[in-house]
Amino acid sequence: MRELHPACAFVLLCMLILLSAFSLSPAVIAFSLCGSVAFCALTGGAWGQVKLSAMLILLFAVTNSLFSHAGETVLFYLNYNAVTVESIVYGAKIGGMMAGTLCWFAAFARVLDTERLLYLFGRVLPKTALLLCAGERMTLQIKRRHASIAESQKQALSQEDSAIEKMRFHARVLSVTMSVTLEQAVQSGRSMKARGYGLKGRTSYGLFRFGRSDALFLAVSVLLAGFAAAGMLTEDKFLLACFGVLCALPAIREGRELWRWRS
Amino acid sequence: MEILKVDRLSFAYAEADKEALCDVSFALESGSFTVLTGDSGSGKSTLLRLLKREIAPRGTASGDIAVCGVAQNMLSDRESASRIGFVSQYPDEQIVTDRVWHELAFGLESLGKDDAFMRRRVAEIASFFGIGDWFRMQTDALSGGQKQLLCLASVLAAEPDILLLDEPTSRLDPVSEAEFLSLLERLNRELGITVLLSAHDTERVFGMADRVLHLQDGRLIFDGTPRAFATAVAIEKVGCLPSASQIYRKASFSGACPLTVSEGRRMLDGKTLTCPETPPKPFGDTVLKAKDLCFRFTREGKVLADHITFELHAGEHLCLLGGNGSGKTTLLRLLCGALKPVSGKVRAVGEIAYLPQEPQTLFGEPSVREDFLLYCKKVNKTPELIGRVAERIGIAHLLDRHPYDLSGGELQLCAVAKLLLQDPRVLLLDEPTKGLDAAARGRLTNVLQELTASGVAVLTVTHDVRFAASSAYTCALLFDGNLHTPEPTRDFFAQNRFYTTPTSRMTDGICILPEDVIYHIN
Repeated sequence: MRELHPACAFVLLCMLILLSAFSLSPAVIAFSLCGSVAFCALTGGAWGQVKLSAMLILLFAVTNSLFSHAGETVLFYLNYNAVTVESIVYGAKIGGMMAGTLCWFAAFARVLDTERLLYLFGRVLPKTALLLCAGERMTLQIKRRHASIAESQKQALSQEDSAIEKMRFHARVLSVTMSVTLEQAVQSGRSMKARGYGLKGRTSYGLFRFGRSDALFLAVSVLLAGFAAAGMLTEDKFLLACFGVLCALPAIREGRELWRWRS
Repeated sequence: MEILKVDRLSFAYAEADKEALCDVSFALESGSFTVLTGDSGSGKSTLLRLLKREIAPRGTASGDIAVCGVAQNMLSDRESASRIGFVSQYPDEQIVTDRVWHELAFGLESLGKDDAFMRRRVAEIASFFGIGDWFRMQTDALSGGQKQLLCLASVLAAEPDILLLDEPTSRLDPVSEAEFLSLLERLNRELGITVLLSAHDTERVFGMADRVLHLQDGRLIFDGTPRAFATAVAIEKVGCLPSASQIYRKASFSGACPLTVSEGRRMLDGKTLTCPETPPKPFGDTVLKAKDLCFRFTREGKVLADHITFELHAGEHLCLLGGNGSGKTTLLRLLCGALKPVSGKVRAVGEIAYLPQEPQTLFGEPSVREDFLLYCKKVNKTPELIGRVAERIGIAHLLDRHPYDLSGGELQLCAVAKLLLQDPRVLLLDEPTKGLDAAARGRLTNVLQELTASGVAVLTVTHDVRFAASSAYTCALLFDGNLHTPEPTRDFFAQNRFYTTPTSRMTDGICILPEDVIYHIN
């Protein structure tokens, strides 16, 4: 998926998240869970996702059966309340749906890192995007500066100082860090202005190129998502199978990339 | 063609009563390489910033500035931003974004260039500067020299006609400095970009420049070739010249004034050189002893200290020289106890004071005096000590100023004074000459000499060979975590062939400082 253009990955994963969140059909849940877990397994492990899914399904199955007593197949009575198969199944389905959606979110986070998200939203919100990546740099710098200031100032701190003294020491380090950072922000501001920041019509540069295979992938996934949505409304078997293919796409794509670069 | 014309420019800062620039007039020819010299506070930065409208300081200005015959205030915002490029001395502060490629594209994005244009220009610039290998890296992971190259490259992407550089190499190590300047020379020679560069270290730039502008107290007092400047400058100010010119002036040679090491060598050819004898300094007892120090940050990490063993004596000033990544700062942090060695021992008699590379990190109060008072209380010393120490270091007039308003040199001296309040036996200095001009270096050398005379031991790590040659008593080379045995400074620099002072290169190690050269004609 990382070789894919960020826009394709973004559209595909958003469609998967939305479709998984809107259907309680067991087939949809099964496809969605299998697809997302398979993808996570290929990209650095899915143990967390499996644990989360199992917990959610169990949790909702148990709680739903305790609070809802509708259904015909009674298993046993708990405090004179019927615990039915239907309510357990319904709870498990809700848990499965949530687990599937969450797993797709995890997949989303693995594919679309800050660089890709900035690239995507840099066109729509260029200023916000710049602020975010300047912010990322600032955070790193402030962290490092804070450590070095704490080390220099430590010469004035002895072992037997009281807790209040220690707190005052940390406040001092923080205030020095702030002053140095502000001082630096003035310089950065100058450098931005000197290079024309603030002129009308700012554009955004990206490293990613949209190729033919990206276009093809995007078209196929949008088409499949359309069929899948129709399938969910009509409950047509063939159309629902399209959702299965859609869920498998990320894992197939990732598997192909892994196979190509196998050693 | 005149690409930049400055006519009777005067300027005063908003709150100041004195003019920072007074009646400055000059014109730059297209494709010229001009060096702007002058002491700290002579108005170099003010002048450069006035030439770039976007970052002009606040205050009252009079006179005219014209770019390619167009008055500065008649240029459109877009033209002004793209035609004049500006690089300052702080590489860290100039970089805006988190990735190298994004930084290169930043100016183009601001100017609203389209995607195809940006791709091509960024590719071109990255190839010309050899940035290919670190194109996708985080800007935070670059070395200081790489950062400054990136700043220059990203300014050049907008195709400026004039490049203004404000002491661009004053915070770089000598290797990065040479790389940066040779690239700048290439830009000037091969692409014909007009360069106006301010510098307080003229060792390398005088050989490249075709013109020197010298400012003194806001007035332009010299405008001519570097050779003419080197011959004309007052004898007590020759410290700002390249070593070859200093020898020429101090030893009263005749003929054309040399500017580079090779020209200096030709001048000294066929002359017998001698050097005044200096008796070896007697040192006191050992005050700091490092034995078999080993250090690395992680098990697989780079070895930053490899069985380092040495002794430091009372009254000694030892300089450890080395490039970036040689483990200089790590060694100091091991010695002062900020890091624990993996194996080995540090034994010290008395207090150790550590002056970090950025001296402003030592201060935290609104004035130097308040900071000192607080520190005195911490180290159980009487406040009367402040006056005595300030007098000794010569910073009594700075006590009521805010630490951040001080110049680099003043701040460095205040930091030394602060550390002296705890009456240390050992003073550790990390790159104390970073960003200092010749005068400030001289003052620091004097202060350190005074300290060592009173029995304090000083250990400096630096890559500034001229500072080491003029102020250290013993020197050693640190490389790859290895420390070679310290030798007397004269022997150390005389025996080194590559890592040595320009004077030593010219004289084959007979002399190491320009003022030492005495010659006889055979």
